[in-house]
Amino acid sequence: MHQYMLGKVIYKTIILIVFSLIFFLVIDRNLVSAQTLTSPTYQLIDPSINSGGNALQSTASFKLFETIGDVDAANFTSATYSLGGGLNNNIVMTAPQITAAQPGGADPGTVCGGVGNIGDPAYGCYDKLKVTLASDGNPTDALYAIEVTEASDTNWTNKKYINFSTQVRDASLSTNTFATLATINALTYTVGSLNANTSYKFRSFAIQIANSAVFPSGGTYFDQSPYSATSTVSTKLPGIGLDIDIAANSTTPTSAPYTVSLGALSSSAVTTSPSAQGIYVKISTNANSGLTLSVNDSSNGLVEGAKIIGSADSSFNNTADLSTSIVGFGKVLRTGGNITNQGVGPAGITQTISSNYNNFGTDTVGKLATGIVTLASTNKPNTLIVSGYDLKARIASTTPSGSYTDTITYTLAGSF
Amino acid sequence: MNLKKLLSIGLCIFVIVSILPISFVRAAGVPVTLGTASMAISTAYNSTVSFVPGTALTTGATVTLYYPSAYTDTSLVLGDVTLTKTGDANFTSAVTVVSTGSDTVTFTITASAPTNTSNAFIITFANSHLLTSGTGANYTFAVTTDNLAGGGDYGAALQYVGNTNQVKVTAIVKPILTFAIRNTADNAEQATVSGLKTCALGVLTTTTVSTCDYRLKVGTNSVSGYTISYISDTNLTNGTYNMTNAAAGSNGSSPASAGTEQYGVLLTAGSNTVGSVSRGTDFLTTTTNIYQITKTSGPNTMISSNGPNAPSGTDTTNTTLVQHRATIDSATRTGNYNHTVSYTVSATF
Repeated sequence: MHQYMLGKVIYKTIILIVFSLIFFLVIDRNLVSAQTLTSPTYQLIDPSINSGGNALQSTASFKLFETIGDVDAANFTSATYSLGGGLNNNIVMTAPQITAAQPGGADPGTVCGGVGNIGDPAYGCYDKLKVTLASDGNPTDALYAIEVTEASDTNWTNKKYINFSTQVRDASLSTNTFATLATINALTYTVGSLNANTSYKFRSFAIQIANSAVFPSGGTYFDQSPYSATSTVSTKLPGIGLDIDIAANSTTPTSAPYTVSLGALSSSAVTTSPSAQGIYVKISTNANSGLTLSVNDSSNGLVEGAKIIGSADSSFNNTADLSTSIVGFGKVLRTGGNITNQGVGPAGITQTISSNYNNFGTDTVGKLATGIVTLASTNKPNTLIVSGYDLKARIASTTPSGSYTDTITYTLAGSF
Repeated sequence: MNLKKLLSIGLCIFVIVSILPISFVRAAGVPVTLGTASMAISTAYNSTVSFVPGTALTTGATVTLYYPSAYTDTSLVLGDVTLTKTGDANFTSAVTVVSTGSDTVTFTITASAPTNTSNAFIITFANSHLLTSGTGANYTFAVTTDNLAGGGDYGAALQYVGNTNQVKVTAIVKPILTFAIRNTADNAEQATVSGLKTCALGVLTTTTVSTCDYRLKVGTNSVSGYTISYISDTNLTNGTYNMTNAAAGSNGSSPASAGTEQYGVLLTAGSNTVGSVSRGTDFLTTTTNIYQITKTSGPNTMISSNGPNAPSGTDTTNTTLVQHRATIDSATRTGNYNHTVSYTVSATF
């Protein structure tokens, strides 16, 4: 009897133990499956799948997704992604997607002007670049920082942080080195004061709250996303371009040598260079402050030996109205007034023609002298600005006969 | 102030400085100058590219020159390009690397201290191993520096090859020489008879002095001026009898009174727009005496100028007045007297 009772107790105990084990197997969140789940690129080692509350729990600022696996401080990581369990990993921002490029994208000349065509060495920005971010699911108020270093800096040893207020590189983090995606992407260019013709690489990370009191030195924010993939782009070379055409219009290209033939001059009327021989001066640059076009003359006028038809008149004044029988020679704008927003470049570019030559539609000419004189200037970079000029001359009955010549020289300097 | 306070202040300062964001030395734009800005095509460039830096450089920093890819650099080697910085004692030397594949010359500098921003870097090409392009155009030289701390300079300059920045202008001023025989007031052409300009002395008497006038009007832009010469077909004659001529030469003849036979001209030379006029040797000295005008050999210079002349529409100043003058005596034969004076005008251009 005693043995029967003992056996019965043992049996019940075993049943109870077995039942308990089964019970906890079913409801125990911490139970670990022995089977590893794999995909071509990821692997879940000993995953556990449990109910984990609602599929998605969220507040205005946080999201809590259903957990997969143990609540554990360990993460599954790759270079750009990590998979971790637990509350900490559920409030970490997603690494943004990043694209670095010349400002202006497919046509950087829209921001920085330049010489030549898209892709040419001096077409685009030589000291600034643009970075565009995509949030990849982060809240709209997530903040992003962008690190930058030269592409040759393999380990990001000399990395710096873009200050979105000043658009230069800062040595350390601050409130100005964080901004929303909308703010960053709205900048015409993201960072300036870069070195010309240099390859830079960028990476970004996101956080939810920038703790303005503490900027971790070498550490990370608790909600900091992994780094984005690196994006690399180069600044351009500085450049200036000058082209002259002798033509009827600004769109007809011609080649050197350039000659304007005034023909036989008259004492009874002003002689203007032929309509097919306008002097079209085409200038371009990516210099931040534009350029200056200057002109000088070989002889202060039309000459043959010791004989001279002075410019702008026989007294070498800055301007002369040849319609009033004044004997002289000079240059006047053919294409009308100051030219604004010509070519491609930043908004607000202006070309200022020297007042000596800006008497479009009149016979008042500007002086051509052996000393260099500013003909025109711009205040911003551009891809092309064109101005056209005519030459005019008038003689007197006593002007000595002869074959007169002159050489006009144009020079261009960029304000980098 | 005790040590504890000092330490506290120092720590505060340290903390404040530590949390201040530190920005880079910014990159700077600099003007770049070419020693020879205008070159012919396919010509060796043995000159300089220079700039005054805006950024100090230390040892290991680089200066890079980008020359035009269209230039010929097949022979360009290390010893053909040098970097100097005259006047900057901190600049020691530079190691040069020529890369013809990328059309660059890179200088890595050695400096005893940061170089200054007042003396220019001068890059000098020598040995005729960099040649301009065979195609005329305006080419860019660009310069960058890297101070190894994220900063540096940049600039560019144009080299004008093959006169592609020049426009030659030509113009013609035609030679001008005009001549007209005008009336005395220069308000009309001299009267003509049968197409010939005429100067009618009228009926000569022993009691009157007969005259007739006209102007010689010359326009020219010859810097050497003009010359009026004459030649006559005959004396003033009725066919068989010649009137007595006034003398030719320096003083001519005093004007004869009525009743004394004499024929000649009174010449008023006039002025010139530029320079002056002078009388020919046959009419030389006085403006009041009478001179012969009937020489049949010649031409005989009457007036010449030494500069251009542009008489106006009505001009009694820059024109020459010729007055024919005749007096007779009781022995002067009757008849119709005439002769033809032919003028020629010449100028040297």
